[in-house]
Amino acid sequence: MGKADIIIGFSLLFVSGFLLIGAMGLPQSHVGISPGLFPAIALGGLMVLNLFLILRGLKQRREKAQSYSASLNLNFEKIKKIAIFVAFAWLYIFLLPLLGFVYASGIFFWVIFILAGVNQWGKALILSFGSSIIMYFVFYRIFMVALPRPALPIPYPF
Amino acid sequence: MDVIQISLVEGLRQILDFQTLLYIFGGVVFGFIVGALPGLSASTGIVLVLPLVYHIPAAEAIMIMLGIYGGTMFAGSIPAILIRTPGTPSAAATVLDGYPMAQRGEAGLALSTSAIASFVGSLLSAIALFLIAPQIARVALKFGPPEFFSLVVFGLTVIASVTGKDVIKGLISALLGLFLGTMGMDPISGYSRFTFGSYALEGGLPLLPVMIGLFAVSQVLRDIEEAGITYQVINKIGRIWPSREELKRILGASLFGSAVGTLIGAIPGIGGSIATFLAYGQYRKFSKRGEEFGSGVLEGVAVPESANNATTGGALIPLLTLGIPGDIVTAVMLGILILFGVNPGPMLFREQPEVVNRLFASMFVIAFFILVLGLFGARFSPKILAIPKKILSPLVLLLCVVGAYADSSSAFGITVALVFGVIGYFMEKFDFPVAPLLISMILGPIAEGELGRSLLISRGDWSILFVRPISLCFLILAGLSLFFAFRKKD
Repeated sequence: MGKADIIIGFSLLFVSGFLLIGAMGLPQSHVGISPGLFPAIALGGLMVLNLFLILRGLKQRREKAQSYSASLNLNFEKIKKIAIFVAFAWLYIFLLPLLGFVYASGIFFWVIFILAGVNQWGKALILSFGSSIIMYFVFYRIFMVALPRPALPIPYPF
Repeated sequence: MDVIQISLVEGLRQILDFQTLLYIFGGVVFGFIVGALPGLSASTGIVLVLPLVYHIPAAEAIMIMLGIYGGTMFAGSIPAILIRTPGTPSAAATVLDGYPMAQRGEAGLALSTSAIASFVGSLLSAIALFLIAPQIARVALKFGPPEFFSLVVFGLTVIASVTGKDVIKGLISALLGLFLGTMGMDPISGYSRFTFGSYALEGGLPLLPVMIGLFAVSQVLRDIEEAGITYQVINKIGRIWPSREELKRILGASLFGSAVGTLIGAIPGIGGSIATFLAYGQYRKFSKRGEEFGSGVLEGVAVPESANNATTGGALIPLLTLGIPGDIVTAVMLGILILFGVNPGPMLFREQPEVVNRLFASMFVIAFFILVLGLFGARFSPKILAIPKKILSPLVLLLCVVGAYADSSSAFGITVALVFGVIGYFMEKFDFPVAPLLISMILGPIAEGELGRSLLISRGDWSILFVRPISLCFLILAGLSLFFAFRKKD
C-alpha cells in the first residue's frame, strides 16, 4: 500500500490544511470553547497523522519497492464499474426532481441491475421500473412518505 | 437486587403483548435473512430497516433493531456452514468446523448446534447485561462533564487504536469523523461551521444517510464489483436434533464461549470476530477433543457461535450505561437511539427506566426466538442462500435511496448516502476502518458539549480535566491505549 498511502496522505494533508485555515478564522470565544477549537484539534491531528502516513509509505517503498496495483485489490474492470456507478448516481440526483422518483429510479436502477450482473436489458428494465413503482406505492401508502414527483410537465400516473 | 427483579418483571410485563412480540420476532426473522446472506451485516440490516420503523414508538423500534442484531449474529453461521463463507465477519471461526460437518452430511446438526449455542450466548449475555449494567450506571451517575469528556476521549482512542489493521489509519478515520461531526451549527455559540454556504448542512451531516452510505451503499458497490460470483450450496441438511450426549457437549462449550464473548464484547472496539477466535483457540487448548478441532466437531461450532452472540449483550453494557459503543453495530445503534430521542448513558437509567426495562426484557425474548427460528428454520436455510445477489443488491440500493430520502424528505439525504457509500467503499479498499469514523462523528459533538460545560464550570481553567481523579484516570487510560497500540505495531 506504500504508493496508495502516500497519495492518500498528501491529499488529506492538503485538504485538512486548507480546512484548518478556515477553522482558525472562526470567531474566538471568551466563555467555554471557541467554535473553531474542536475542528482545529481534529484537522491538526489529521495533518500530523497524514505526515506519518506519508513518511511510512516512503519508507515502505524504499524497503520493498512493491507496486501499488499488486498490493491492492483494485483493477481497471472494478474501477470502471465504480466510475459508471458514480456517474449515473450524479445523473440520478440531477434527474430526480425533474423526472420524479419512478422515472429517475427506473433509469438509474436499470443501469445498476446491469452492473450487478442481470445481462438481459429487457429483464433489467422490467425489474428496475417494477421495483421503483412498488417502492413508491409502499412508501406512499403505508409509510406516508411522498417520494419526489416530476417538475417537468410529463405524464406521471403514480 | 430487588430493583433488578422488579425491573425485569416490569419489562417482561410491558413487552409480552402480541404486537410487541410480533415486532421483535419480525426483527429476528429479518436479521436471520440478512445474516444468512453473505456480505450483508447487522449494521446494514439495521440501517435498511430504520426508515420503515420511524412511525412506531422508540422503544418498539429499538427492540426491532436488537432483534435484527441477535438474528444476524446467529444467522451468519448459516452460510459459514453451508457454503464455507461467513455471513458476518464474526462467523468466520464457525467455518472451521461447521463446513466439514456439512460436508459429512451433518449440516442440520451443525445448524442446530449453532442455534442452541447462540441461544445460550444470547441468554447469558442478557443476564450479564441485566446484572452489570445498572451497577455501572449507578457509578456513572456521579460523573460530571469533565468525566464524561475524558470517558469519550478514552472510548474514541480505544476504538481508533484497536479497530482495523493499522493504528495510524484508525486514528485518521476517527479524526475525520470528529471533523465531520463539527460541521453545521456550533451547539454553544450557534456559529455555522464548514457549511460551505449550504443551508442543508446547517444542521450538520444527516446521520442516517451517512450510516446508510457507509454500511449499505458501500456493500452494494462491493457486490457490484464481485458480480458473477456464485456459491456452491450444500443442500443436504440431514439430522437436526442432537442426542442427549451431544446436547451436553454443546452446552458445556457454549458456557465457555458465552463467558468469553460477554467479556470481550463489553470492551469497546474489539467486537465479535476477535471474541470468537479467542474463545475457539482457548477452548481447543483445554478440550479433550482439542486435536479434532478443525475436522468438524460440535464444540468447534458451539464455542464461536455462543461467543459471537454473547458479544451482543456485552457490547450493550458500555453503550447503554456510558453511551460508548462496543462495536460497529452498537455504534449504528447509538446513532439510531439518538435519532429516536433516547440518549444512552447513566441518565437513561434514571430518566427513562421503562425503556431500559423493555430493552433488557427483549434480550431474553430474542434469545428464545433465535432458538426457535434456528431449530425450525434450519431446513429452509439453503433457500435463503438461493436468492441471487444480482437481484438483491440493486433492491438493497433502492431501499437505501428511499431510506435516505425519507429521513428528511429531501434529495440531499440521497446525495449524502451515495457520497458516503463511495467513501466507505474506498476506505475499505485502502484499509481505513469505517467504525472509528462513525463513532467519532456521533461522539464528537457529545465530547465538545461536555468540554464546553467543563470549561464553563472551571471558568476556562483546563486543569479541571486533570484534578478530578476519575477524569484523570480516563485520560491516562486513553494515553496508555494509544501508547500500547503504537508499541504493538512497532
